[in-house]
Amino acid sequence: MDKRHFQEFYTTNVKRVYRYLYFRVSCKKEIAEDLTQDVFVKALQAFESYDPSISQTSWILTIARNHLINQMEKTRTCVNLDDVENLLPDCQDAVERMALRADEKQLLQAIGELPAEDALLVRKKYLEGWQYDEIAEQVGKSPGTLRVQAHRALKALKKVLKQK
Amino acid sequence: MEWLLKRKLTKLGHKADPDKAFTDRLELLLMPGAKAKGFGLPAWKLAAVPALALILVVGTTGTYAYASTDVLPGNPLYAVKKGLEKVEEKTTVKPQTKLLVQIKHLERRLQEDKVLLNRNKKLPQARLKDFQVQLRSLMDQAGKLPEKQRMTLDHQLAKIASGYYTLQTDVTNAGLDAKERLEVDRLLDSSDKDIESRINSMDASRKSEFKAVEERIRAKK
Repeated sequence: MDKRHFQEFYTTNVKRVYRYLYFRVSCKKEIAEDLTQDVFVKALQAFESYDPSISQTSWILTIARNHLINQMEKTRTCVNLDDVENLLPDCQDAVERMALRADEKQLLQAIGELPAEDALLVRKKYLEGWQYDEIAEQVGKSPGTLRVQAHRALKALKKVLKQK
Repeated sequence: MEWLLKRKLTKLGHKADPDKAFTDRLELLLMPGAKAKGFGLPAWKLAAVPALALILVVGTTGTYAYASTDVLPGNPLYAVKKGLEKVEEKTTVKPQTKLLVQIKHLERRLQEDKVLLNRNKKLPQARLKDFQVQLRSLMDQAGKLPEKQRMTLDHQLAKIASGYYTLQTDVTNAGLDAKERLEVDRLLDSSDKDIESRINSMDASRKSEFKAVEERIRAKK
């Protein structure tokens, strides 16, 4: 794809990629910034070979996920792909690094208590800011199904919060 | 209250947003040739700035034109003032309220005439004529309302009419030459007759409101 379109691509995706990485590196700002920079440098290098028939979201997420796994492999002995995807920040780390209020801390804890699939959907939709059709591409479900699932997940989240 | 939960989650997501300085720096690093786009603001925000400025300027000018006693005939904003008054009249639905608005505007014309006379030592005859026409029309319209509603309006109209007769004295005492004086006298006489005949045809309770006006007309004779 023409590199002239990269600026638009960058503007659309930078925040979401950053958030994706931020929540998976225990909310460490400096690390998330470094990783985001690496991901977009890689994306720029490969942009001319990018096939527009593949969704931008899937493409940039694949780069981000692979880069994150590579980085984690350097510090850990074994990294599972699902672990990376479902990784939630340690609540205490997030509270300190994101300067969270008590209710926000509770909310983050409550997401962690949801079934893995629901927690992932809530995080992708609300914390990372992806659209339903983009999440649908990532998880292989229809946007309509995800809407219904998100509705149920929010109900469950409310229930968890009430119990706290 | 699902929306509240969604809002809280979205807000939490925004706390994980990258710094603008970082995204700008990275953008420059990736695309050194890229020119800064309109102070880094999205197009709709950039368009909103002049639109808001325009609304502010138009709004402030309109408010000033409408409320200021310094905006007189000859001032470019006078047309705005009259236009806004027309809108105010058109947007009032209840007949009594509409009349109240019209009376308020007539009172403004009287104040303007006083200032114009003080400033120029003369008052265009057309303004005197317009004033008379409006005064008579409002007296007629008020007469069609039920007595209870009419009382307040009559009181205000009589007050304005008295002010108008004071103005008439000032106009005729101002430096008019013989020809101008004759024309003004003729104009005022015919108006006096009209107003007097209207007062005479009023019922007793209404007539008492306009007693002072009637006395002034008689004193002129």
